[in-house]
Amino acid sequence: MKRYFIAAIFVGFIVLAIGLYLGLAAASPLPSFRIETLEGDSEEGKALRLMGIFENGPYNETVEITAEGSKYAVERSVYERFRYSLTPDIPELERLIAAYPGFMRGKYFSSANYYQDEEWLVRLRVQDTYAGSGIKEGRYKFMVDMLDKKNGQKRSLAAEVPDRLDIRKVMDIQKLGDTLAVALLAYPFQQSGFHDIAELRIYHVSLENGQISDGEKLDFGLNLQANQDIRLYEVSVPDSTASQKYLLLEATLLETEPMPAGNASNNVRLERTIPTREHRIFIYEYETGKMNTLTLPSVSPEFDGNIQFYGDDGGIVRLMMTGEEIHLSRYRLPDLRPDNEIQLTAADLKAESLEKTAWGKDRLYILHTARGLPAVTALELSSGNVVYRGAVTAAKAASANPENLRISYMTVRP
Amino acid sequence: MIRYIKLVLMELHRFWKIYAALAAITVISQTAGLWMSIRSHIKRVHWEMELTSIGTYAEFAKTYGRTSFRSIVSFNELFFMGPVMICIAVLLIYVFLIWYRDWYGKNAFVYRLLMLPASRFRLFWAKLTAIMLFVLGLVALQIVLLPLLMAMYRQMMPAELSLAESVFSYVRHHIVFQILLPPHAADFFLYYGLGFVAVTVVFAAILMERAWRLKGLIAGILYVSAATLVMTFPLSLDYVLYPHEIWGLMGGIGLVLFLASVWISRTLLAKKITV
Repeated sequence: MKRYFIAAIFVGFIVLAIGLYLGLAAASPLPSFRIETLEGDSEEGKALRLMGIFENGPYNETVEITAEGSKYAVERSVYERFRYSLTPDIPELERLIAAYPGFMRGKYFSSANYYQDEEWLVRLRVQDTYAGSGIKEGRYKFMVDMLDKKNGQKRSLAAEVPDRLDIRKVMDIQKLGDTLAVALLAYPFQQSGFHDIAELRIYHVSLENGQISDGEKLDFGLNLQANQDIRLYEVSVPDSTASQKYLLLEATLLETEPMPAGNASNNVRLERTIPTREHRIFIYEYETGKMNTLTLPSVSPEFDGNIQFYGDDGGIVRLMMTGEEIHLSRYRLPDLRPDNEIQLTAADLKAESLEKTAWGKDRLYILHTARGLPAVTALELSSGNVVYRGAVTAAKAASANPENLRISYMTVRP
Repeated sequence: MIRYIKLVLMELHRFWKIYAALAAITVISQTAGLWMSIRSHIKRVHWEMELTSIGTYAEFAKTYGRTSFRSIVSFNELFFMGPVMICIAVLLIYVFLIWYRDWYGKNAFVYRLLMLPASRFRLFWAKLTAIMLFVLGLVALQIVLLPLLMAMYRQMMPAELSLAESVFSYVRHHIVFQILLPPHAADFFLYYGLGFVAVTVVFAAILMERAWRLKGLIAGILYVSAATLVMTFPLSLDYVLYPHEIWGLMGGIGLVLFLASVWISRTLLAKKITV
């Protein structure tokens, strides 16, 4: 009998200790925060996701805050962490995976490799073809997959790229009737030695038979010297998978010089960046195949802040931002005429300092501090009006001190 | 049921001395380790205060910062994690010994066990239950011990030098405890569920060896290797499967492995193992 009694106490101890532990752990989560709408449409706040650190005694806890609440990395279950590690952190792709899981299965790439409109979802993958030698030969195939959204039927085709290239990146794809325009950043193919100047090429692939009709190499009209190169960056767009009239690229001029003797290996060279005070935006119009250049006014040498670009079918915006003020210049498309200029100080936004920004559709979201707490203000780009104000608030003020919260970046779900 | 409980009690009774020793080592080592760490830290603080002419703990904390429970424990981590590792090692060994001591122990106890006028399969469940109780008992002990050690830290450390943290924060950031004592209920059941399946697989392998000796040993090793491979295989399918599908597949494989191991053990105990 004594043995039964001791065993019962032992089992009771296990159940009680583990039950209490798991129960208390579930009942005492880390402080909860959320983005609260102070002014404007609360739907604006639902698109925002703030990532930061919460100082919890000796630990710095990574936290994600949305309008629904907060989620700490350490509070994620093993499954949630596993899912997080295998899901691309690109809102456009996350949305496509949720909507078309069969088509997206195992094939993510970058959001620039996708195009969608009401009827079609198209994916392009660039595949190396080695012709059996095992060495890169500069030959590629475009592997195109198409999903008819209405009937769920999938079609695939392969198209051989006619030119020998060293393809670096797919910048964008757009469906124009029965053809797919593919914008590529590539170097001319070289077996060894230094690369030539980067090229932007537009190929048109027939979606009927996979024929590539041309491989237009776009002329930037820069007259580059032998020791000069350009780097092209995509201008932020509201949704890189959506149908767009233009391909917008920002150009940065680089001057290159070879490594000193003894340090150089065959394919390595030192690249020195020239500080760009003059910004150029290349605008390629898919319908007409025309290329335009927008040369923006030079930036003053005293300016020591952050410069970003945003574009949509209606215009291009240059943002110049410091901790104290933001300056937005908008240029209309297609005529490139200056549209509006917005200059706002931290005080105008009731902010103590301006920290980060993120782009949304016709929106600039500004992360700043207000009364020591993280807050977000949204500007409508076309009008320059403040359309939303939100602030991070603690669910239970007693347990959460928002002053221990530091937001490091912000993303916007399209 | 009564016979099964009797068998479990017998298994618990046969191991209780070693088990009590493991529990005692854990309590003594962790308490002593923490006590020594706090003492030597306070000594160091006093020495530093004398050297730098700092008058109060508050001033010291302002200059050098406060010291958390986590930092104090890390000064003597061996005292803390050493007994945990010993417990894990002993229990891993006992997964094998729980069977082999019946054959190779005093008086070849297995003759009596296998001749009992009841299903031999109860023996399998009794041993499996005993192992799980031993594991969960030590887990429960550590769960109770941690808040007590934290209370001891708060008691011994001057308030100005200590830095508050919860048991859960400490566990979540500890490389070993976040696996042994996961505060997320789903993780707790996942880890110990996996452990439970692993023990049944090993039991099946042990019984293969007992049934066919050398050939059984080879079969057992192959079975354990195959089970590990099959269980982890879905992880390599991340390029075609979504996370919830991989998880579901692993759950299904775990269940199949459990049922297969139970069936193998039952068949071997009933038909192949003779005394």
